[in-house]
Amino acid sequence: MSCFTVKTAFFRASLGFMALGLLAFADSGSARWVSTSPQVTELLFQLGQSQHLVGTSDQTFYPEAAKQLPKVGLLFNPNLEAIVAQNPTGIFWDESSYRPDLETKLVRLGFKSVRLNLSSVENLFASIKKINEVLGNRIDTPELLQSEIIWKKAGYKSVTFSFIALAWAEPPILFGKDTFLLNLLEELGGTSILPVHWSNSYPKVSAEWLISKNPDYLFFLKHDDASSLFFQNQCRKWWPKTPEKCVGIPAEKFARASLTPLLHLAGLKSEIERRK
Amino acid sequence: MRTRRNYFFVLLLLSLVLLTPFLGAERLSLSDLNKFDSLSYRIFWELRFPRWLLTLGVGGMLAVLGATYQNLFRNPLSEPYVLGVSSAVTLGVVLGEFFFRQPTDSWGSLLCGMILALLLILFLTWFASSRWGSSSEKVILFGLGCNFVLSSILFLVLSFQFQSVGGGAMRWFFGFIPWVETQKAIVFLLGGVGFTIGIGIFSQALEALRLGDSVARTLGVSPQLTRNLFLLFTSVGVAVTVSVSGTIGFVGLVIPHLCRMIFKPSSFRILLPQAFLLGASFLVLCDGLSRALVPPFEFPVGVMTTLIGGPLFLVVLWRRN
Amino acid sequence: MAKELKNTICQVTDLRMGFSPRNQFNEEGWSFSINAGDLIALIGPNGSGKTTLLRSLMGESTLLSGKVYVAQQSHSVQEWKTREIANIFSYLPQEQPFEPSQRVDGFVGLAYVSCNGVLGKITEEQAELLENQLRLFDLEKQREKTLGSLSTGERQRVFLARVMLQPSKIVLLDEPTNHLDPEALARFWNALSLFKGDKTVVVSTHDIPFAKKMSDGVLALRAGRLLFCGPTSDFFQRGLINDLFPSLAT
Repeated sequence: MSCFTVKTAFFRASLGFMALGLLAFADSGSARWVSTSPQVTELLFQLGQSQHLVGTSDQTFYPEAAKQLPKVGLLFNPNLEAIVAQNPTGIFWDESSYRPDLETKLVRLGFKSVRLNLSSVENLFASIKKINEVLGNRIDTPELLQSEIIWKKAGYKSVTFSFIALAWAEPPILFGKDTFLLNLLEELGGTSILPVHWSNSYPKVSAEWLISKNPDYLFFLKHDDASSLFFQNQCRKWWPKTPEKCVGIPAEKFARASLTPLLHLAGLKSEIERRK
Repeated sequence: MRTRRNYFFVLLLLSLVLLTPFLGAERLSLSDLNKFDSLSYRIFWELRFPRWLLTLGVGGMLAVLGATYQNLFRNPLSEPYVLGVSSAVTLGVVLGEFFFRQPTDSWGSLLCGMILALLLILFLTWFASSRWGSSSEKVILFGLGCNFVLSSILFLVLSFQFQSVGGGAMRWFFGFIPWVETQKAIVFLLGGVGFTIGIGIFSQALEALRLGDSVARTLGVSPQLTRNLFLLFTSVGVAVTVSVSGTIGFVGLVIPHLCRMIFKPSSFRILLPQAFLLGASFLVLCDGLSRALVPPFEFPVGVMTTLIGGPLFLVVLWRRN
Repeated sequence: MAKELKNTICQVTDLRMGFSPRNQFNEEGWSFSINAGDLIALIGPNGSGKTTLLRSLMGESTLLSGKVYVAQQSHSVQEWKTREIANIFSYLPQEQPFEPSQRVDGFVGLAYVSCNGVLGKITEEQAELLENQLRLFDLEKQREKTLGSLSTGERQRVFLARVMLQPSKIVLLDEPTNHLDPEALARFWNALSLFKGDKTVVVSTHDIPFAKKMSDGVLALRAGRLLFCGPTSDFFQRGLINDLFPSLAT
């Protein structure tokens, strides 16, 4: 054996080791992500990517394990220092938590920034694809598969009804364009009575307009019995003859734009059909 | 000639006020107004009419409360919220929602608001009766201090919990006339009228107080007692009004001044009913406009009062000069 | 010819006054008396305690210790109830606060709150007296004007009209002549002299000529001391005016 051959072998071997090392380093480096929104956090858990999550916003309660994650700021107010302290690879935003000024700073500091759009079911699936690309892994959790099945199932638009979704009862504030709940209900076959050209996400309307439009259903998010009573009373005042118009949707299932609403869609649909 | 112009103005105002229930998001069919249970009937008699009554009451009360505070504190810039009663009610409602899960508009929520407001009022009255509160200036400064403290706590809570208070907080900050049954609206309106009459009956005490504490004493009016009683009753009036409608700005501050400029009342006793009527009319018109400008969107009433009232006040001021 | 026996309406014993117990104005207590129906001129340099003395005579908080017995009442004035004060005193401070939008006749009419009470109305008799008062102070033409629209001198006349109209026994006036022109000044002193015998008036003033001419007695203060209390003639004959205001010496 000549010295030259041994040296080359060593050199190649060490290169190989370095490459493996780099790969390992690269793999662990891409594994740290911060979410600025509770629904993005829940989504990441449901996609089986929770091992990459190193931080989430305040008010994250679903799933149970997400409560242990370090907090990087308030709900609509992420904290730059707290994010940086986690030394992430990148940050996930959704349309409610997005802060362009923070994004600029974080990008300048060398972090990746990924904007997700969870304002409709289509956008939700598009966002899942984006997460897939970013995290470079194949996502095939049972929740995702089940959601896809439920969604692709034909016949969702078979029930037709007109509706509004109420975010607040007095004064009446509605879920408007680009809100997940509105889109979900529309995909179920509902027609919102809101005019198409209204771009306001949470329009405040006059009660008499609501009464005269007389939708088939009034949906509201049910957080607890007390607030639910508040909505029911208002609905009863507006349409005293048809109080069953008022449908309370459990908030823990439908308030966040993640896979959870899709997984419980059947229950909602049967509730609507039952009342028809 | 001035009186003739005043009469014309009053008539115009009166006719506008009477027309306001016909303004709104939905066009009503006049023939249906008598048909029980038709859409027009329901909207007019169940929605707009009680709201019109309630708005009259709230507007009148705010103007009278403002005029009383301005007289009591000898300060033309006083208004009903200067002592922090409105901040106390709002903070009480927000805390009620935060800690006790009382949704806005429930009795529990109103109770929280009133309890905190009454605590503040008792605190203010205690101060005004003590030897530190021996003058109007000291009392108003103390009230201002309380207002700052309460507002800062309120903002602190809101910065952490904004999303859970959302639409409700809007209402307390910008004012909103809620939808109540006709009986409740009538009760409130009559209460407001009664309150105004009550203050009017004892208005000479205020006028005596206006001359300074020493002179008031020589007129047989005990300064601290009078000040305390007026402070107590007026502040309770503010608390009740804010509990109903949230914080509607501008009316309490500017309507008394407008009254003085337009009607030139010869005494406080005559100013009071004028302020009540002008305040009631003004708020009703603002409320009507807030419904009718961009239907079916509704502006909060407080936004409308400042939008219209501000320039209006400047115009009247300019023309007087 | 019998000399009229004058009653003492106000007996002051060892009066100490100030704004707080630690901040006493006069070192030694003052003692003096005032006869009923007299017009007393309270004179002295600025800061000599004239305003504080007037307020103390009314029983205000500036009265730290001592006794002020007024109108045969058994207890000193600082223990009086508001009702008792209203029955005896009327007061015009140096800076009178007022509501600019109030009318002249309304303002002067407030004088009757002292006897009618806050809920009372002016009787016909009182309304007539009010008319006379307005005429006396040359305010007839301005009766419907607002206080804010008057000149300072006119306003001062309104204030004076109010304080003199009040049915009181003792009238305390704190530098009421400050804003008046010579004509109004003369009329004011003439009006004051009309009340002699009926009311006891204590006027704090810098107006030495009129004080000398019209007043029955003088209370002179200087540098925290009660320089003199007695008949006017005495005061000026002894030349004490020069002690008060050295530059006045001719």
